[in-house]
Amino acid sequence: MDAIAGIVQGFHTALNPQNLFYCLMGCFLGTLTGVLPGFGPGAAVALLLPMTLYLPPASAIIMLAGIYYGAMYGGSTTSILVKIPGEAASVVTCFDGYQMTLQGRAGPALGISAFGSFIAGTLSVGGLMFVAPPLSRFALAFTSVEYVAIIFFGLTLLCFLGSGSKIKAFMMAALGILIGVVGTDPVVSVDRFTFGLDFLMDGVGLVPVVMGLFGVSEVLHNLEQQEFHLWAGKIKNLLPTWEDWKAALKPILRGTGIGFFYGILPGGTAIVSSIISYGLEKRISRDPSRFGKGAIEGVAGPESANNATSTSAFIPLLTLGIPTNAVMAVVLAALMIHEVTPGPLLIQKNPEVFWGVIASMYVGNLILLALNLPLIGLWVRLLKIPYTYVSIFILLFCLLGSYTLSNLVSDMGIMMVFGLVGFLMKKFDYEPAPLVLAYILGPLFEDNLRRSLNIYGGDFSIFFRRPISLLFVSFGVLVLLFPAFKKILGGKNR
Amino acid sequence: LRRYDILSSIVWGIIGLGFCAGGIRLGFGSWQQPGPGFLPLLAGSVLSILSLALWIEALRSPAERIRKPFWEREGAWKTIGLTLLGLVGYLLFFRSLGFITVTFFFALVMLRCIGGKGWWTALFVAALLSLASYGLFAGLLGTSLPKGKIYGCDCRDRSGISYGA
Repeated sequence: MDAIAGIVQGFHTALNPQNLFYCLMGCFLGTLTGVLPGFGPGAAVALLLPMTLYLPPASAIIMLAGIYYGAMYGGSTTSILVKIPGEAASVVTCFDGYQMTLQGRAGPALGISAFGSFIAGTLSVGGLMFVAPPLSRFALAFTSVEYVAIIFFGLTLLCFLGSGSKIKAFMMAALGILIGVVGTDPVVSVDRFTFGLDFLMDGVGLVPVVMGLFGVSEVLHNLEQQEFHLWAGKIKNLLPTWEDWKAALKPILRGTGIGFFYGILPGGTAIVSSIISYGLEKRISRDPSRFGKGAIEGVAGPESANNATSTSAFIPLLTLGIPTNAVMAVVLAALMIHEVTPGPLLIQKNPEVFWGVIASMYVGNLILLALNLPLIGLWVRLLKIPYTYVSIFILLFCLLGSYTLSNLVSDMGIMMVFGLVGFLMKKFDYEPAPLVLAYILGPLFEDNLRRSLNIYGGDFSIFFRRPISLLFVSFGVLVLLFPAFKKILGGKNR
Repeated sequence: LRRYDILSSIVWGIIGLGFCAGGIRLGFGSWQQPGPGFLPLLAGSVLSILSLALWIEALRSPAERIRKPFWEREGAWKTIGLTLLGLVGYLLFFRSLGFITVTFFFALVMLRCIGGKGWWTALFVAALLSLASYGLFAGLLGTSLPKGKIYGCDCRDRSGISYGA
């Protein structure tokens, strides 16, 4: 009953005209950033963070959340029409979505992707509404020991689930932690790796890092290729037929389940959930050879999965205060700016923020359905803008987004350095996700690890003596050892 | 990617060792009371060891038959180089020239040299873009942007930091 009373209160907050406006703005800007390649939700949320300084906390988070799940809706448009994922999680949609476009079925592909996203988004908000409050109560018993174990598990899982080399993923996680230690030590106030530079004393800023790694590097990558497929066709029949629905409904529901589960896991990202959903649909299909040739299930499943993940990713943030990806980290920064501490006490202390954001997601999903179906022509027109214009626009946004938060030119410099590093990482086949997550969680990990060791007199066995911590550490170790097991078993089989 | 892996593993290995050295200098502390160098030393060691593993793995893998070129198309280095130069220029002249002027020149260089637009188009779009973005950021979003030292403006932001200084 708590959840019902809470959501009623939430709707009261979300349907207030001001919050409705910010929800609409968030969804609109999210779809826009999703459609534009090279400008993902991470960079968009980081850019609009300074703008939310003057808003009440609930309005600020409602808008930032709208941008995130809006980008998941919008990201599929470019994947389907021109085979360029508007944001990383939509890369799987390219496989069958683009093939459907080539077969003249762009309309149903876009339609099922929007409906699938709507169903997944709405069901996941329902899940979030019922899972988050009990999890919050449960998390009240967590100490620094449990936090260390959860972060350890999250980082190992993210590295393990990445698509590239596992060694490289773990290297990037270690590098991320190292970037996170730059600045003044929180315990003994000693400068660490600042090289006498004043602007590094507060650490390397989150916004410039996110803007550089996700915004600038993507623009540089696109400018290097300079093959911009402009969409010139016309879209007909957006509403999927009965046959399309019959084929897509189960994949949508399965995708929702997978996406929701991965969003809750620390380290589970939208891209991983969409890849898993695609793999599952292909495996259980009666005719797997249809996949990659325009199977509607290959669009419906992954698109639903990435949307469900973007919603359930709020669960670890709101209940434990742990961001599971770069966007959530920026949302965490926004909450901290507004003196709202996410974690087990959020529901009690700031119910208007917690329930308001959840209720706004129901509203936001409806807004997005309206934005994505009737207004598809507008988004498609964006694809006709020459990329040089788009790239200047994105670079300007990244420069100013980095600058405006603290009015420091040095932040623009940090953003450029990370832009170049991100570009080179792409060339040398390193993934930025483990780096960013480790950089975000690094300080939290260090703080809790030092505190745990301090309290328990340097006794490492404490991580194995508390049941929840033991569970997460064991999972983390299993994930770490899995490649070795696989190798040994593979060797025996041969 | 063998060549790239060998090269990058060396770079990351050196960075990892650098953090280890820094961690030792800062002080590891003890297990009971970890010091400021505790995590840098731990993470730096992990990075160095994994770099070594990647380096060995790359050396043991067979040499590539076809060398993948660094740039995906001919002349791409010019595009990337110019964009990076444009960004560095933006950073260097942001305070002295002010937002509108520096944005105008940045957009002009990008449109002319990378977009291949004609002079008139480039001038028009650059002017429009710099003024419109100023209107959007300074006007609508209330961002405090430098107007430029060369114009003799007292360019102070909300926190009172002078740009002209």
